[in-house]
Amino acid sequence: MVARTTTFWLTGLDARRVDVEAHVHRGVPTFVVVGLADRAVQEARQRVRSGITSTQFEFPLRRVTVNLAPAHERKEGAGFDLAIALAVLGASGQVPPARIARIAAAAELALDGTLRPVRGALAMAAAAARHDLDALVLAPESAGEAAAIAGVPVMAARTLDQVVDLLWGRAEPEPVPPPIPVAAGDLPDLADVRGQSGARRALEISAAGRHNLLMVGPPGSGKTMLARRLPGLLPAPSVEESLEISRVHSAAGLLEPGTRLVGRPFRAPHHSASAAALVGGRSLRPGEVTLAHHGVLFLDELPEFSRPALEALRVPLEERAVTIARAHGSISMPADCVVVAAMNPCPCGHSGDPAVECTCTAQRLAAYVGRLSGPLLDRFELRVHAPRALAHGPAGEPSAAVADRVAAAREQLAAAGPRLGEAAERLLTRGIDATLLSGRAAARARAVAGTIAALSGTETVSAEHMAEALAYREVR
Amino acid sequence: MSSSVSSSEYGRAAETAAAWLLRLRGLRIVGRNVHVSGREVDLVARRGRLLVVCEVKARRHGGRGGPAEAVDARKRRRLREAAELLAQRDPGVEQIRFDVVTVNGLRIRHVRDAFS
Repeated sequence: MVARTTTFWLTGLDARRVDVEAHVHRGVPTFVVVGLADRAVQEARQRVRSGITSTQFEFPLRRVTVNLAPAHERKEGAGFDLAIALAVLGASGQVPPARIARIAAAAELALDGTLRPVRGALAMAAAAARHDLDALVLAPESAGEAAAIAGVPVMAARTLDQVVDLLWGRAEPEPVPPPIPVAAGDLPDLADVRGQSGARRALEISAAGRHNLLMVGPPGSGKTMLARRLPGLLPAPSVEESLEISRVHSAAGLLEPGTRLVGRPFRAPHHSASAAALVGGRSLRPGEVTLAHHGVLFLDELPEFSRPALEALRVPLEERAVTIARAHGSISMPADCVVVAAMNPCPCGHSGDPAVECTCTAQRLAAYVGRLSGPLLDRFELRVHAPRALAHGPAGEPSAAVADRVAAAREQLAAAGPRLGEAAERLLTRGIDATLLSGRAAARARAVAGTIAALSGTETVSAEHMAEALAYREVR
Repeated sequence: MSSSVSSSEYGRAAETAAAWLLRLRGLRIVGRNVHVSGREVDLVARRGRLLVVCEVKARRHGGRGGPAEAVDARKRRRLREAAELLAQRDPGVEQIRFDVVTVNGLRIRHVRDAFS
């Protein structure tokens, strides 16, 4: 007898449908899994056998063949266990085959038949709804996040026994509570940052126009403090954005069970991060730039990052998405984040500091700055100095006030694109003629000037706005 | 058992004891020391559509190790091949199970579904 059911496996952020077919026929007992299954899937055989025999069921004393279709796609991971077990039980008449044909199941099986959660349940629920399936069976830990998707009922079960009872109609499914909204935690306030009027201004422009920001300043001047306050200046994510943020974190296995993220992510990878860690690729998991989707990616000590890691960031910053090509096809992940970077002006950190003398040789300084390629620097349309600040300076404006201006500017920018005034246009042309600006740089300066105009509440970009925008390109 | 019993006699006695144990468990013995194209099966039993291929391990002097160790990979392969042939001869067979009975002095143990 043949029984079929469905499961999903995660590539990047997408859940791909896999049809699981089990055939039980007479012959010397064997258990074979075919369909380009990797080691973890092959090992599913042991978990499925133990999971089935340690519950109320019998593993068939016959030849069992399981096929994972489409057979040409390589499959990885342990999330197939439950679907394989259900297909085997269906093919041996222990669950009704008709009941499992129209549902999907995704969970790892423990040896005692307990269900374990899988990564990416949110994407799987969305895919199950897209494929018009009747239900999605998950471990309780994964069910919570999947419940955020309307369109497919999510059934939570703790054990294989419970799943089968649900399918026979002997038990009612456990109600799955809607996911609890979780904010990003307490956002620090801008009022804590003293001085740094220039950097604060740039931070505000960055928040309003989603422009990338590079802060150059000596150690302890508050660059990191400023960067951490950027998520608090951005408007709260919309429902769709929040779902996307949750989907990314769910796929990375970073979502707390039963929650939905409603805050903007702030990711601060260490400078020892590899290219794969930054843009993704390692076993098709999202990288830092995808984890920062709809939020902020903070790169502290920018020149200390490895050159390949920084260069790998260039394309995602431009496209606002990551595409990873693999031998078996390419996957695409969103990466729409604001990048904030910080660096010291020189290796010792005191270049341009009136209080401490810089001890760097010209050679060391050149090597330090040389680590950042021109094209990469070009991606930071806002570059500011963050000089040494006085620890007893006046307290700054609170985040709430800045966030209000940012929200107003964003609204204006969304309603109508800024118009360049004549004087602004002349200024920009002069910059291009003096070969100070490349095509991309000119386009970016135009965008920054537009944001500055929106922040001041005007629709026409004046020469002053353009001058400020161009000034942000001057720094190094 | 006393040491006056020869090794082959002891083995035959163990097989008889194992056969009775399987009968007690509701199985019908259909063959003893069955030879199928060069492979020997100690006991062949049936219950309905189930075919049981049973290996008897007799140990006189308190052997070590479980039945899984007693039947090595080579033996298991030969038993599987034998089962394949036995099942082919009888279309009534739908399920096949491999059992092991260990006889150790007066202690007899029956391991159902010992391997597959």
